[in-house]
Amino acid sequence: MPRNLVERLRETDEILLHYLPLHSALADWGKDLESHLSEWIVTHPEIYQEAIIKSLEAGCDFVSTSTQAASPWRARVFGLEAKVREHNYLSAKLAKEVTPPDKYVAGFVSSTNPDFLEPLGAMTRQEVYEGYKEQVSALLEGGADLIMIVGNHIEESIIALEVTRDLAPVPVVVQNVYYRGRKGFRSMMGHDPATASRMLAEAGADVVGGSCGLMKREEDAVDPASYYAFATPLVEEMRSGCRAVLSIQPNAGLARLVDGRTVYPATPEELAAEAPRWIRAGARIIGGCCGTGLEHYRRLAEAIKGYRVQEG
Amino acid sequence: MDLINKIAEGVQLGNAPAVRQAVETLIREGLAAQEILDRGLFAGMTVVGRLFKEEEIFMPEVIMSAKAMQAGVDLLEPLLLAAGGRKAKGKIILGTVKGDLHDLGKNLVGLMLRGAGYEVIDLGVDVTADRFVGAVREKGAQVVAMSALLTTTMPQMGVVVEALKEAGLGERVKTIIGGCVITQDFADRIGADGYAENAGEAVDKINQLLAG
Repeated sequence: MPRNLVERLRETDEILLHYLPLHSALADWGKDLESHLSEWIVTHPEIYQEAIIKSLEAGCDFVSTSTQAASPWRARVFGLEAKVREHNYLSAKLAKEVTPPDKYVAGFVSSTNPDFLEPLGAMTRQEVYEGYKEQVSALLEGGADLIMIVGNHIEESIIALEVTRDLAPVPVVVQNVYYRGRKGFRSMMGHDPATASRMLAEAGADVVGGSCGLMKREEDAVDPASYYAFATPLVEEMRSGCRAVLSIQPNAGLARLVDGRTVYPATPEELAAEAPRWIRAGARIIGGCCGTGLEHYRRLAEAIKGYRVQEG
Repeated sequence: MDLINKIAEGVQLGNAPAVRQAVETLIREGLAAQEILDRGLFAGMTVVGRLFKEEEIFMPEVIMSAKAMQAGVDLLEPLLLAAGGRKAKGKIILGTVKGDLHDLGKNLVGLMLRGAGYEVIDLGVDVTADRFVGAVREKGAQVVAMSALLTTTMPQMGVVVEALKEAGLGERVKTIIGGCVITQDFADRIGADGYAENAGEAVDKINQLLAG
């Protein structure tokens, strides 16, 4: 039986590359702005599978199911709550069909927008648990090899982690979104990366990570193309909070609108040149978030080939 | 400490019971509802806005403060209605643009604006230009505040600015935009009247736009 992600990480010293087929990435494959992400995927299965096949060929080790809009809460905003199970199940199944046995499908869940866990929002712990259970069980049924939780709210992410643990013995990656503000990195809820990472590691996450964000402040003088460089200190801060395997997934720089087109300034070469620093800082799973295209992944795969896990 | 200050402090600390208690007492003592609102609840929320802007506090604190404020507002609402309605500083149409589902920041802006005394009509997420224009017409709003978190949806903000102009509302209504990928430069390029980096700043900028 093939090794799961945790076993792979434990038994080898490899650095792994993660592909996240986001809304903006799928726009390159012809996705329009209007349609709901999961609804588009299940109605364009061949394109979704093609995107995944290409990313795995480019060197990615695992792919996510693009189901961030397929949570019960998000689905409700679009009147799609009856399709939650179908969206999650199919996204996982379609991905699994084209993923070779030595690579993985990560069932992707995100935050509970538009409502929060009380006391911030109106949802009880039970409601959050049941909602995540609906989504995670469908992802697992569809064949997801692990669950990836990416969110803004640590307590909610921990509930999603507990849901997964109660359902199946699969690896769980939990990533938090951090922003760089006046006081350094903070999550939207105010946690610094060391604190948040400690909480997630103590809650039992197999991999702890940071995603997206890292947005600049207006007064920063740093060249926008290099904002992904903030990923290195973020990894260092996460490492200072826990000994868990670390994952980092920054945007390809700070996006700009150039002649009406969205441009992420970090070129594949620039991103790939930066990646070894993330690894030296302690990251074992790397990837990109917004703006990371196929060529970025190709270069990242090449860049990390010679690297092994850093001890200490 | 006098009760008005107790209210402001209660809002800052996110202490809804303390706010309720102080508001109830002041109502009994006959202080005008609008005054309790302005000098107690909104004054407290203004401090919260500043602290949030300066990153001394974060979203959880802001939301708890907003809840405490709302607890006071709920008690005052019937009195305000009886006195002929609340005197809002202005009407603001708020929404996340078409194609974009992100709303945490937008919701925070809504909270802060209400806390500053504005009437906020929140259209939600994935809002088309037509809906923004329609809401301005229907409600007689002075400001359209737009949020976007994706660069693929940012251009929609330009579409809305244009649509308002085409509808003959360009002079009547001010536009302000925000979101993690938004910059002052982008705001200038699409002809928006303002840009705010966070919810706290949004209040300041809107105050300026409507004063000037």
